[in-house]
Amino acid sequence: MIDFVPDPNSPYLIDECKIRGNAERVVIPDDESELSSVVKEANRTGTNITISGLRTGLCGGSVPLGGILVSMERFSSMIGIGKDGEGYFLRVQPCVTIDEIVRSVQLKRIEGFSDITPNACSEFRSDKRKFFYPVDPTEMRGSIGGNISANASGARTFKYGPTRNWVKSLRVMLADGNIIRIERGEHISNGRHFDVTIDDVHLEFDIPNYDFNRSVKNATGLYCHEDMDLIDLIIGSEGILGIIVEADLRLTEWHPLISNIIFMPDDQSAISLIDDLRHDTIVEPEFIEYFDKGSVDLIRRTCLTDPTILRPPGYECSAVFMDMSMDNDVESRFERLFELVRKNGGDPGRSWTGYDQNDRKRMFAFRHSVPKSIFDYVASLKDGIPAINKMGTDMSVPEEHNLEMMSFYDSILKEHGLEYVIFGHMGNCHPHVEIILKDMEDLTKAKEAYGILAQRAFEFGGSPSAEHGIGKLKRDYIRMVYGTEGISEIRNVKSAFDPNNILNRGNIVE
Amino acid sequence: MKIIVLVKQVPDPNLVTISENGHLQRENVPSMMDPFGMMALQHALTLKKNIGAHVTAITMGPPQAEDMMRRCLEYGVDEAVLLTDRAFAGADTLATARTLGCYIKSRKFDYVFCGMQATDGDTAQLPPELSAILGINIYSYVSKVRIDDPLVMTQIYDDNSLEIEACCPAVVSFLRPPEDPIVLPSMKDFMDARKKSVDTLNAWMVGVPPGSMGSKGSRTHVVRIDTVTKPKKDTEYIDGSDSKSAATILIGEVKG
Repeated sequence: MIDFVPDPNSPYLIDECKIRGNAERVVIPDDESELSSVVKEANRTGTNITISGLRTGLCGGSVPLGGILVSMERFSSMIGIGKDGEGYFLRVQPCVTIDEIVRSVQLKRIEGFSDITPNACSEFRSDKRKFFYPVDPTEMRGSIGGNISANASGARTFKYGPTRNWVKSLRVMLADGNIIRIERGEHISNGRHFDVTIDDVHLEFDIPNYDFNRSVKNATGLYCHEDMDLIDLIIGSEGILGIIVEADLRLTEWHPLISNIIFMPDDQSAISLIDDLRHDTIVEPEFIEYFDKGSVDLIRRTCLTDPTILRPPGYECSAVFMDMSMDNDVESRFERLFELVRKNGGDPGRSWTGYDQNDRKRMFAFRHSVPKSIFDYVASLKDGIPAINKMGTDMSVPEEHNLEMMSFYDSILKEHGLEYVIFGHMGNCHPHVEIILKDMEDLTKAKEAYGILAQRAFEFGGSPSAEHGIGKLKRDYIRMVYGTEGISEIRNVKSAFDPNNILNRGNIVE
Repeated sequence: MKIIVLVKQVPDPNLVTISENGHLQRENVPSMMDPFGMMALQHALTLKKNIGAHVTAITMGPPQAEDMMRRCLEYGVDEAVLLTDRAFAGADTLATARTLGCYIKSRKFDYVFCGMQATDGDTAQLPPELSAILGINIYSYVSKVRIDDPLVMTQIYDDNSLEIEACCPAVVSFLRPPEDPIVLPSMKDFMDARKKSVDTLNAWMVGVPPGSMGSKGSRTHVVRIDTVTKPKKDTEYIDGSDSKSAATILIGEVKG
């Protein structure tokens, strides 16, 4: 076990939200027994423990507010493969990356894996079908533990749902150092009351009275509803109830896909195409992403210095990125797609299409280049590396309010004199509005505009935090959504799991 | 203008790993078009777009390479030809060049475009071998093509570049893509390609002499793969106005 006093500039004190925390110690345990001894000691002394994975979070969930920072980086093994009535599952430690999971499953590289159920590894290897883990949270270098703690989602949530849908079971270390295994389907609340004994640990508590908004993409606070599964309370709880030490993830059968980036004449025609595609039963998109004209322009700038990114066409355009199944119906899917593209003023010849892994990877790199393009743009304005460059929204709304919300983004941001681009998960009515921050004055204006936008998204029946979680940055939205009573009920659940309030203090609630 | 483009299917270099005994682990690794061949294809397609060149893509490979040839059709080539036969298996660069050369001789062409090397072998031997077999000029390490009569090509040698009129017929090996390449097929090209088919030819149809193809026709065999560090040498320019004396200097260099 490594145990040291961190330098104030230590990378362990910061995540991708760039807010720097502080800790008296950084501890890197080698195994569960070392982790347990750290947790037990902290529980005895009432010391705050912040759990850190690979620190790719965007809301400060792994940024410590004093106490001990426990890095789970050595819990990075793929453990094994199992199979049950619902198919294959993968058992992993929490600091395995999404990229490692994707590669191991796709290439069936499972040397050294254990059989979680008899002969599962050899059966998996010799199975002629291909499989995959379908959650694509964009940041493939993130840890699965972090993904589960934030219930990460991404473009493919459109078809496959968020991380929650793919977690079969969890082993969780509680604040007293004991470990429990929570299997999906085994511990269901009676209404809003849990009274369960797992591995000799007894837990009895009431869940909050609010119903977690499941009608939109949502990562705002603890998931709860009547007769719920205990595992769903842990997923998305941002580490405030326990420490994930092992997870079983469901895999699903892979099928060939064809990716398309369609260049439309303007933003309106692109949004209108997405509206037509969203529920089309012939095309059946697997995800739909949007790039406004400003995003395409920024990518075009960045391509001049980064040849790895596909260069957008020379003409002015917005874009729609979508995947569809490449099966026997592909011709009728394309015929229908061409019809919808033309109906909305586009041209099927003005597009890119690709189905082999490498081409699709390049198209995804194009999708993921927007944040870098914003960084490059702001850097060019400031003639140097900017400390701040953008503020991204993470709001989803019900489909019937999507167009109103899009207009609202425009009017509020223009009113505040802010430059912005919009891209992202429009299939789920969850675009990312990236507000470009050229100076500190922009930051102040953006914070104000963000609050107004989040409030309107909530009023429309949406979520102010659709996929990034709450962490320490967005706690105001917990109050907006659940009120003082909801916060108090969340605290009560935390107390049942963590009576001394040592775990990830400051995440979700103060 | 008729352009033949040589392409090659290779395992995705980002996913291939090397085992402890130095062998490439290709199992379950998806294949892709070699990036250098892709650059050659992009140059040919740019000429097709700008001056209406007729483009034929050719590869020698296993039957599975048909997928890549279909992809060439989707990119917009006019014809795609797959040379495939068990007798071609185990070919080194010379046997490959003989097989490709044998087929190319049966076609009318102005230029043969290819990558300067492929990422799986990295030998860069095929383009010069092919030019020798075809008995035509070679322009190596080309980065740019300017439309003129004849085409003007920019060759890159380390930090220096050379602009040269490329008289046809000639083999051209590329090391960079064009400045504004066709990066991916459009949906429309993809659908149009579904109406075309890949021409598949075996050894008999190509007419390669039996002893000159595949492992039997190969002069080299891979014994072991090692990583070596190459000492960096500056490019030396030789006055080529007197070809005899230039050749003498070159022979001296090769003999050391």
